Amino acid sequence: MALFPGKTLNPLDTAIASFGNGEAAKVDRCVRVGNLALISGWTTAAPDIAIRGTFFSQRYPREDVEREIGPAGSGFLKACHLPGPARHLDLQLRVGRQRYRSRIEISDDPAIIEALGIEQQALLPELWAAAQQILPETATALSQVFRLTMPAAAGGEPLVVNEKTAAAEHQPAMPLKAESQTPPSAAAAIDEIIQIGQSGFLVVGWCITTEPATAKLLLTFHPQAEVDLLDDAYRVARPDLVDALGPMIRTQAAQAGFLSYVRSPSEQAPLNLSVRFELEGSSIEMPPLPTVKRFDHPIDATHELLKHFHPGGQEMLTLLDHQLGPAIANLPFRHSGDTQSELIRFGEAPAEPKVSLIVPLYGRYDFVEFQLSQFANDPDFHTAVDLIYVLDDPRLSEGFRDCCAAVAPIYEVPFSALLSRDHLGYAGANNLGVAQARADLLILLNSDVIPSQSGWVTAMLERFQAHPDCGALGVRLLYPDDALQHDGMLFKRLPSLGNLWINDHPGKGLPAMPVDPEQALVPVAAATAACLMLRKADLLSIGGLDEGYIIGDFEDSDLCLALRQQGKRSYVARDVQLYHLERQSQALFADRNWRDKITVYNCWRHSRKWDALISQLCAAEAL
Amino acid sequence: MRVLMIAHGHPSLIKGGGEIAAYQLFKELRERGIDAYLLAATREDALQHGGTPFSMLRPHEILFHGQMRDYFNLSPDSLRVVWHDFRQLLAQLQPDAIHFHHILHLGTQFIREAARYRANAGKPVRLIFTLHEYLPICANDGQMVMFDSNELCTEASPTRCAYCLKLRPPRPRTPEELFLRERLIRAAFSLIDHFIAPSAFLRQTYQRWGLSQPISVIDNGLPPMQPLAPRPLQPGQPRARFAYLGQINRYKGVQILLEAIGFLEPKLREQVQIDIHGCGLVDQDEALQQQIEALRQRYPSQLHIHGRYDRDELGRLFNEIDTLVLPSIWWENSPLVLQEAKGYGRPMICSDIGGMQEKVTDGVDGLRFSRGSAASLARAMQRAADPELWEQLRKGIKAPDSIQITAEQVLGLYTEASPGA
Repeated sequence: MALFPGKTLNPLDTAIASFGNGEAAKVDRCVRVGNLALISGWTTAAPDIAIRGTFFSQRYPREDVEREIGPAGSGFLKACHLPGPARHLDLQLRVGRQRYRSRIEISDDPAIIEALGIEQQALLPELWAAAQQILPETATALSQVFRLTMPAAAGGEPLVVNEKTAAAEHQPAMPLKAESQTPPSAAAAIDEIIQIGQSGFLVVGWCITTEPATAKLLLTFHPQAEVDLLDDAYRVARPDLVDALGPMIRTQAAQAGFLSYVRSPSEQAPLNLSVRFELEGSSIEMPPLPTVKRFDHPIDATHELLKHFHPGGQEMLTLLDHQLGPAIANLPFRHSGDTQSELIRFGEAPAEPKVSLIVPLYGRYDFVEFQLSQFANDPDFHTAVDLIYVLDDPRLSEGFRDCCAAVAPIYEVPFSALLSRDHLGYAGANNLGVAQARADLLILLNSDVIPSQSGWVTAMLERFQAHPDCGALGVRLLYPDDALQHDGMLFKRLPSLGNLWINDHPGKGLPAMPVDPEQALVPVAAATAACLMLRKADLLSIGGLDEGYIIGDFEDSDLCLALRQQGKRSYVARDVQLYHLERQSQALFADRNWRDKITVYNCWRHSRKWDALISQLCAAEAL
Repeated sequence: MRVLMIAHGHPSLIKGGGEIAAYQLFKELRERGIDAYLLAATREDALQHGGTPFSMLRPHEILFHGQMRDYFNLSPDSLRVVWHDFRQLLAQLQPDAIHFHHILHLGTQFIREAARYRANAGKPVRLIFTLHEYLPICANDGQMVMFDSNELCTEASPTRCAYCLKLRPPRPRTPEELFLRERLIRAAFSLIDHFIAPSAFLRQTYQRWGLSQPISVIDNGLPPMQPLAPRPLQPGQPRARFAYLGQINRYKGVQILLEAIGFLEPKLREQVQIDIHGCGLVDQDEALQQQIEALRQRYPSQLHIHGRYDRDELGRLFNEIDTLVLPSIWWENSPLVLQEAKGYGRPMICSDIGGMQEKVTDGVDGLRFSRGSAASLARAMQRAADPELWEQLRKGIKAPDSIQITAEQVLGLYTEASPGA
C-alpha cells in the first residue's frame, strides 16, 4: 500500500508530489526495456526516490525545471532491474526522515520509450556502461532500442544515489507539463485550522484513498490526546482535486473534503498540533500544518467558518448538528452580562413610566430623528414612556452621541442613549436596554418601525392588560405601501432547508384586510419583536432574550415560545398598526450571502431548541 | 401685534413668486402699522457674520444663512441653528403670529421650534403656512410631474414616487426613504394652525394629500397696477405680439410656445412676434437649450429671447405686447405673472390645468389651451390675434386681488382664536 501526502496540491500540479514545505518531485516517464525499467523525472533538492533493484541513478541539470522552481531542481534518470513481467513499480520517496510510497505504471508504449531515449541521449552511454557491468544482455537490448553506439571501453561508473537531506528554501514547485498520469494511491491534506475560542478547532482538509481502505488522520494536541479527524467528519465534494490528481479519483472527490470540529479537552490553547496519516497499518507524519487561524471577533470567525457552508438539503443538517453548529455556538461571543456600556440621558424622563420602550440600533442611527419626529407629537412619549435607544455598534458611538445631542432639543422627547462597548447582536442589545428599563412593561421596537398615529403605546397597553394570559403582544405592521408586513407569525417546515422550522408571515405583501374591532386581538404562534410588548419580569424569568442567535433573527419567536412554555400566550393586536421599513435594515450587510447563512444557522438553532414544542403546537392547531 | 414672516428667499437677492408674495405681504403689514419682521433664507455665504446664522438686509428684514444639503428631507445641516439660534430669535421677537411661506433652505424643524415657542409663549400665538407649490408632497422639485416622462402626477405614494424618481440625480430613492420624508414633513405640518393656498386647486391637492387643518384660499395680492392702453395697431394688423415672462425651465413649457409658431397659419406666422423675458435657460439641460436654440434659428425674425427683467420694467414690457402666454406643463399654483397681466390689462393664454386655469376664464379674460400641445396653443394664439376677440378679452379682465385684500384676509387668520384656545 502506498501513501502519498499531497499537501499543497493545486489543480495545476498534475501528477506532482508536493510536500508542502516547498519540496516536490515528479516522475515524467517509466518505461520497460527488456527486463529493465527506466524512470525519468525531477525533484527539488531534498526528495529522493528509491526503487528496489536500482543499479543506475544519475542527476542532471534540467533547464525547464530550473526555470520553474529555481536552481534546487534537477532531473534524474534511474534504471532498475525488473524481476518479472511487472506492470507497476513501487517507489519510495524520502524527504528528510519522512518516507512516502507510491506506485507508478510501467509503459511499453514505443513512442514513450523513444521519447525517453531522445531526452536522455546524453546519459544513455553511462547507463549502457552501468548495465554492461551487471546485466550484459540488457545492455545489448538498450543499445538496440536506443541505437546506441557504445564506446569501446566502458567505464565502470559507480551508482549514484543522491543523499542530499538539507531542505532547500525556495518557492513551491510550479507546474510542469505532465506526460504520464500517475495518481497517488492515497493522499490527504490539511488546508485550514480555525481556532474556536477556547473550545477547540475546526479543521478543514481532504483525504482520498484509491483503494477501499479506512484512512485515519490523527490529530495530536496538547496535552497528549489524539482525535481522528475523519471520524464523524462532515464530508464535502472537492472537484478541484480531480484536476490536481487526475480523473481516477473522480468518484472519491465527491466525498474527499472534510470539516471536523475538534473539541479541545483542556481550557488551555493547544500548543503542539500534529497530524498523522494512517492507512492499513502504515503511518506517516503529515508535513507541518498550516498556521492556526485566530480571529479577534467571533463574527469574523463565523465569516470564515461559513465559507465552508452551503445551505440546502438534509446534508446541511449533519454539518450544522455535528461540526459547524457546535463550533459557532462555542465561539466566544460577547454577552450583555459581561459588556460595559455608557448611559446618556436627554430630557426629563417621566418619573413613573408605564412602559419602557427599547430600540436597538446597528449600522445606522438616522432613524432616531424620524422616530422622534413622530413620537414628539404623541402625548404618551412625554408622560408614560421610558424611551431607551441602545447603540449596538461601537464604531458609531461618536456620531450617535452628536446626533442625540442635536435632535434632542428639537423634539423634546425624553430618552436615554445606551452605548454598548461591544457589538452584541439583537438579543444582547435588547437585554442591555432591559437592564436599564424602569417600567414593568416593555416594548421592544425596531428603529425602522414608524407609528401610523399617536396613542399606539396606550392602545397596546390596554389590550395587553385586558388578557391575563397574554405574555407577548405584537401589532399589525405595514410596509410603506400599506401592504401587510406582519399580522402574527406561524411555524412552518421548509423542505428546501432541511425541513427546519421557519417563521412564516402569512399574508405578507398582500393587502391588510380590515379587522372587526371586537375580534382584533388574535392569538398567534409567535409575534415579531419589531414591535412587541411584554412584562419585564417575564423576560427576566426566562433569562432575557436568547443571545445565542448570531446578529439577530428568531429571538422573537424564541421569546414567544419560552413564554408559552410558562403558559403565557402571544397575541397580535391587529387594530394597532405601525409601519415597518423592513428592507432598510437588511441592506446593512454588504455580504448578503454570509448574512443568509447566518439566518440559516439561527434557524437551525431555533428549530433544534424548540422542535418539540413547535411540533406540539402545530399538532394542536391541526386538530 | 408682532408678526414674523418666514420665507425661503428674499426678492432683493432672488426673484421667485413665493419670495415676492411673502415680501409684499410683509411690506403691506408694516404699512398698516403691524410690527412685522421678515426672516428670509439665503445661500449667500458672503453676507454672513461670524458665529451667527443671521444678518440684516434692511430694518426688520433678517437674512438667515443656513446650510441645507438634505433637500430631500428638507433638513438643515445643523439642528443647532434651529434650537439655539432660531429659538433665540423667537425669544427676542416674541411674535404673535409666525407665518411660514416655505421650509426650503430652512427645514421642517423650524416649524417644530415655532410650535415649541407657541406652547411656551404664555400668550396666543398663531402658526400660519402659505403653500406655494407641492414640494412637501413631491420630491421632484415639487412639480407633481413625472421626472422621466413629464406626465402630470395627481397622487404621491412611496412606491409611485420611487418609480418616478428612479432616474433622477443624484440618486434614486427607495419607497422607504420617500415614506420617511413624508412622515417627517407631515409630523411638522400637523403643528400648523392654519394653511393658506393661493389657488383652490392647491387647496384641493393638499386636502387630498391629507392635510386636516383649515386651508383658506387667499391669492397672493400685488400692489395696485394701472391698466395700460392697448398697443396701437395699423388698420388690418393682427394682435400678433405675444410674450412669455418668467423663469425658463422645462416645466414652464417655453419650448411649446416656440413650437407653436410652426402651427400658426402662414399669414400670422409671418407677422407674429414672440418675446421671451426671463432667465434660467443656461441652467437647463442641454437638450432643452438645443431645442430652443434650433427654434430661434428657424424663426429669427419672429422670436426674441431676452434676459432677466426687473419688476419695475413690467409696465414697459407689457406695454409692448398684446397677449401673455403661460404654457406651463406643471400644475402651477397661482402664477404672479397672470395677476400682473391682469393688472396691466393684457389678456392671457395658459395651459388648461391646475392653479393657473382657475385664474384665466376661457373666452372671458383669456384663452386656455391643451397642456403640452403646441398645435392647441397655436389655435389659441390665432384666435387672440383677432383684434376684435382680443378687445373683448381685454374688457373681460377684472383687477386682480390687491395686496390690501390679501393682508386683510391674512390678518383675520392671525387674530382668529386657536381651535384649542
